[in-house]
Amino acid sequence: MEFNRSHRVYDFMAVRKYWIAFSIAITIVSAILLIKPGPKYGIDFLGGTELTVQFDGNVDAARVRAVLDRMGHDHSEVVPTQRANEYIIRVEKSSPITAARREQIRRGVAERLPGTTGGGTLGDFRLSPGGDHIVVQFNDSTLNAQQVAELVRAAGANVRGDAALQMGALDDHRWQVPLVGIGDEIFRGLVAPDGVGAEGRLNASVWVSPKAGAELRYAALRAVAYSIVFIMIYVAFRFDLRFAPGGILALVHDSLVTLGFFVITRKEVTISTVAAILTVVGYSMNDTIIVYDRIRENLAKRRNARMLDVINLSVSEMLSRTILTSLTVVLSVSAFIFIGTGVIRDFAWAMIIGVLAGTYSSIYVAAPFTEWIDSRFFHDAHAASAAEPPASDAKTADV
Amino acid sequence: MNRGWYWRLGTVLFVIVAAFVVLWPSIPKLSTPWVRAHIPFRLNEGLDIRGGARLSYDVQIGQAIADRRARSMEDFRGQLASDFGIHRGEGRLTPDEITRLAERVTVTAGSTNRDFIARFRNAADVARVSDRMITDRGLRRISSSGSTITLGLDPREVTTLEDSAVQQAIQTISNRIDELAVKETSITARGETIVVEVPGQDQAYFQQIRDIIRRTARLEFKILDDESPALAAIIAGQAIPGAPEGSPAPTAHPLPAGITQETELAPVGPGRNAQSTYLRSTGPNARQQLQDYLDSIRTAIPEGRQILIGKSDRSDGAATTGETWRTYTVFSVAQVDGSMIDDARVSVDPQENRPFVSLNFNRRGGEVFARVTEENVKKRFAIVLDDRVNSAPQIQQRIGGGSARITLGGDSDYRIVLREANDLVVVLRAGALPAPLSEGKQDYVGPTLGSDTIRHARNAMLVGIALVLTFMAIYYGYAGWIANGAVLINLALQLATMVLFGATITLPGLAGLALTVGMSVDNNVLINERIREELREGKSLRAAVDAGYAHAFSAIFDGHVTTLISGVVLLQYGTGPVKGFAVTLLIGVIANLFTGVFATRVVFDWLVRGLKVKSLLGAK
Repeated sequence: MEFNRSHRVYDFMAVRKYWIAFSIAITIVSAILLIKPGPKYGIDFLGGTELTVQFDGNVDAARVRAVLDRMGHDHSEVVPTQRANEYIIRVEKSSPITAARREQIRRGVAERLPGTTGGGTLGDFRLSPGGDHIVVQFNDSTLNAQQVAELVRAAGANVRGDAALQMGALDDHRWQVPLVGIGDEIFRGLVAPDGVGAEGRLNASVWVSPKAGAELRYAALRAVAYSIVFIMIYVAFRFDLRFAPGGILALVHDSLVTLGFFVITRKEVTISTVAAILTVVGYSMNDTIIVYDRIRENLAKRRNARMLDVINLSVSEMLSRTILTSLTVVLSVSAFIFIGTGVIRDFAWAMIIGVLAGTYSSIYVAAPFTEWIDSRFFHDAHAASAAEPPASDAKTADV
Repeated sequence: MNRGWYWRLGTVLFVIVAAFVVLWPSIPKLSTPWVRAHIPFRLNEGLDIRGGARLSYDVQIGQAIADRRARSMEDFRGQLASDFGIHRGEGRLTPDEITRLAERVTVTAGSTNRDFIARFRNAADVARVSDRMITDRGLRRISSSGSTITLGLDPREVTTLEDSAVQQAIQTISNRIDELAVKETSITARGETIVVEVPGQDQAYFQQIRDIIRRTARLEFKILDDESPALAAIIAGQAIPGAPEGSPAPTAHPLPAGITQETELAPVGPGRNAQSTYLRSTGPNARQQLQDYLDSIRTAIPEGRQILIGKSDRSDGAATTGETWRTYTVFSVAQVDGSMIDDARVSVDPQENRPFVSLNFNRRGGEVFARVTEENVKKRFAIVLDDRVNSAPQIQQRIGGGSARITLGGDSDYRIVLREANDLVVVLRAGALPAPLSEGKQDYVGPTLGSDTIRHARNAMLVGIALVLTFMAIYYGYAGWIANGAVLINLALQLATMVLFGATITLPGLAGLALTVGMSVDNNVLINERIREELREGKSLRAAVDAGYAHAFSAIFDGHVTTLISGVVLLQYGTGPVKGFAVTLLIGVIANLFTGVFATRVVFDWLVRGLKVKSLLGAK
């Protein structure tokens, strides 16, 4: 079997204007989408709420997942613990409390302290970002766990249970007061008559911080930026300065398009998406380099040919390889689209979009840009060497 | 076939067998209990597929606040010393300056963990404490009366500290785990509790992670005050010479049984020695006993001094049951600390054949260390790690160039010392924790994903791989099968290398493996297409194979070098999952070149040279 059996040379570059316009448009649209509405980050990046639930009867994880899905928490994690029928459930939602409400509770606590026996004075007052608990700290206080919970409840907070938890050293008088929030709502849904079919206890409901905060995104971005610099240097040495910018443009195009696809389809950006984008970057670079390699080879063989013709020839010669490789990559992950679920299906989508973009951009982003740089900045040198056939040509024309 | 070919064949076969041996215990259907017992390598599955241990830690924020107060106190002392004309420049106070400052003012900790009290000898000096001096340091005035002024940390400072302590602790823990392994680990905060989830079942590995997380890793260099009469005076209940007026009347603090008071002749400057008093205790509870006694005399210890505990290298021969611990009286100002360390490594002392940790100072650290050693020649200095004296060598001369060593582990086994040294290097390089952690419970958790999801992903991976293999076989015929063989070896090789590195397979990792198969055929596509081109130019099959490999290699080489570059950069600048990805990428590059180019060539050469096949890839 063989693609492009006729070994025709297609004039890819004749229609390049339209494709360049298309590429610019799609890149700009993707960039705008990334700013507004912006990617939908998942629990990995934004954090969420973690519930620890102990069921009284036999309940398996699949059942809990099914009920959560029905309640609309379809990206939740259900983790069995070492105790039977106890699960750690992580959902993306949290129940943040507004700054005004926070201030209201703080003032409520501070105002009630002088009238409370053994209250002391209010030191720190902090509200968890997920709105799941308040940390209060008193100076010279003799309040106990129940009194602290009562005090905070009287100040207007929706306190869960009737006791606060002491933290750190005893003489620091630092207390954590749990609040009612999204966790309680989910728990009620789970033990409702149409839920998992068992009663249970909500042992804890806390806000969980992101697994990978902004620093992972920055680390990934910074690492990609550095590798672009190093690869540009390599390409400039191994090929020519003309080739480097096109490769980078193609790479930016591919990663933006892949991310833009995630924004449009409202797919969630997770740590796996970061891995997928890094893979796309690698594939895009590799594919561009392989097309460049053939252009370089053909340029050396045909010293006086127009750059556009060399590109057409090279892309045509590589056509069967290009189709073949992108096809095998798409084939290898396509099954995840049909059989896989959740995160892994999104990963497969990212790869397919990225690989198609990477293949396309080598031909219609990197190559035309290299040609443009060549004609814009190196044309004079070319014209000069073409005008007076140099003597050295005879020596090198034996290819 | 020539000799070179046999060598290449041998290499390929060796690599295949080695990869199989590494993977053998992880394939339930092929391995026997004997194999599982004798081959230590295992495929690690991630938290999403397998679950693992869940460790929780509470950040002791109260302690972080107390530490900030301690730094503010040092800072405040330094400012007063400059105002009094005792100290000049930016550097920290020298032991001599501390003694002179104590004659004018004492600064001691207050009743809560966020305030401190300055007592001036001369009430007029209180005026030196301006509002500006207080607010600039993030402090506030709580009260002042007569010659005494009480200052506290500004509540806003405290809030910032609380907000950042947990974040910094998470950052430090992830740096440490990054230094240690490439296993996928989840580190998240719930309020002031940090939860670390580690995949797998390996108890020894969990223990190592716990050891590494727990250490605060605060490294400090402090000068010993061997001339201090304080300890002896406190024990006897005498007034400490030079103590400020108005100090509470001294009471005797008799030593409990088990602690002995000792003296040693210690160098205290060029040509000078002094009898230095210290406490010593031997036995299973020696350290705790000393600590309890020191806690009981804490308030009596004079200004700017600290009494620390360290393991004693001198043991009294036969009578030693358990370890011997002793005390050191030091100036509390840390002259050099962990922030001045550039790098830490494990080295082995060639004479004693014993590992130690060598430290390199950064530029500032090197300058400070040179100055401090110059000013304190022929005195002893203590290397203090997490408030425990590691060793107290004598400064022989000014030490420039900036390196120091930490010795470890008394007379334990070489391997234990080596592990201790490695762990210490990890924590020193990753930096100190902003606050101590108290260790909570260790729990075990199941996989985060359901068994259906995992089964579907596994099936999808197999279907994806099968599709690629079938397609290659149809498209290239026999040559396609050569490529397929290479791809399968490639897969085994990558898995085996991941096993050797201790990396984890996660669900997206399964998709990554399928993707690897799709991408790694590219080498063979390039080569095969090139061979076809060469054939079209009329070359013989044998010549076409040679030319095909030679010409395709340039593109393959450039493609792999760029991937290699980005892999190395990601490894260098990435963190956590990005680093794990970089490792996989680098393994992939090597495995790809080996199987796609080197191994397939062996087969092609055998076909065209050994079997003298004439028809391949559509050539007649």
